[in-house]
Amino acid sequence: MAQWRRFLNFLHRGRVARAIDEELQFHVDERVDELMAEGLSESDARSQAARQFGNATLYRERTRNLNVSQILEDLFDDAAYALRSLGRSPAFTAAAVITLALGIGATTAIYSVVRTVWLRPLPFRDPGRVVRIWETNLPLGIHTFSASTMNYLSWCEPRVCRNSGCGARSAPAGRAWCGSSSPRAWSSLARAEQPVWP
Amino acid sequence: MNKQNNDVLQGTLSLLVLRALEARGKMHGYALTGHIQKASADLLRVEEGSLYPALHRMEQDGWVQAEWGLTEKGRKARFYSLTPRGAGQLAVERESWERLTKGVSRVLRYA
Repeated sequence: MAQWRRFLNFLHRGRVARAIDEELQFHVDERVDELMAEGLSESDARSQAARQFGNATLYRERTRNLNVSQILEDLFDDAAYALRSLGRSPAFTAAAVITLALGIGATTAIYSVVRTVWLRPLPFRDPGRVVRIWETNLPLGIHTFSASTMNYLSWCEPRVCRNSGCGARSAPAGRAWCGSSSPRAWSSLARAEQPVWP
Repeated sequence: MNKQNNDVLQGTLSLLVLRALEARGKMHGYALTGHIQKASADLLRVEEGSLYPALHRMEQDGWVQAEWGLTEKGRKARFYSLTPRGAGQLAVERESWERLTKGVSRVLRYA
């Protein structure tokens, strides 16, 4: 419970510290008043009050540490110090950031490959050979639009393939482009007995 | 100044504070030092600053509670008062203190 309050107090540690200063200052002020009432000059009273109070810095610190979480405060101070140090040497900071960025990027990229090739390959018999067929219509400025089933079937006609060697090259719109697609869209292929593309 | 006469024994400060609050009710730290000094007929003198870490620790432990208020002279001060838990602690500490002093004086008298 007390520990929890110390954590919360960290959020307004400035206010907590000021309240403690005020409490301790009140004590010294009262002592000075009393000593002056006994006939001491103000400066004598002040120095004697300070002597009687003892090591004010130490007691202030101790009281403060009872109220504010030391762990959080140290963490916060360390983080602030780290940021200041980084700010002072921008070249080092840039090198570190770039190293980290490249490292993380490379790891992610490699893992993506491992994941698709090894851990979760597409649910087809030969996923490396799955393609998506696009058509282009350059006169209309369309570079990719979905190939219709009928066109696809006609490209696959033995007649077309015999004449031109490959269905893709005989496509009416010109060239065929390859792209990837989601497994769901191609789920029907999972049942295909034959490779889709010649 | 004789050190033996003036230093408050380690660990007895909370006993003195709890007892002072029991006897006199709500008090601020400055009044507590004065009270302890007066009640002990100047035999005990608390190093004044050391009172505050002790008070705050006792507050954390729930033995005392504190609130800001105004003194007769209109100064803002933090006033401490005894909680029921503090009263229980006082009983415990008082008993162990009495056992300690009884034991020590017996040893001193032992021939």
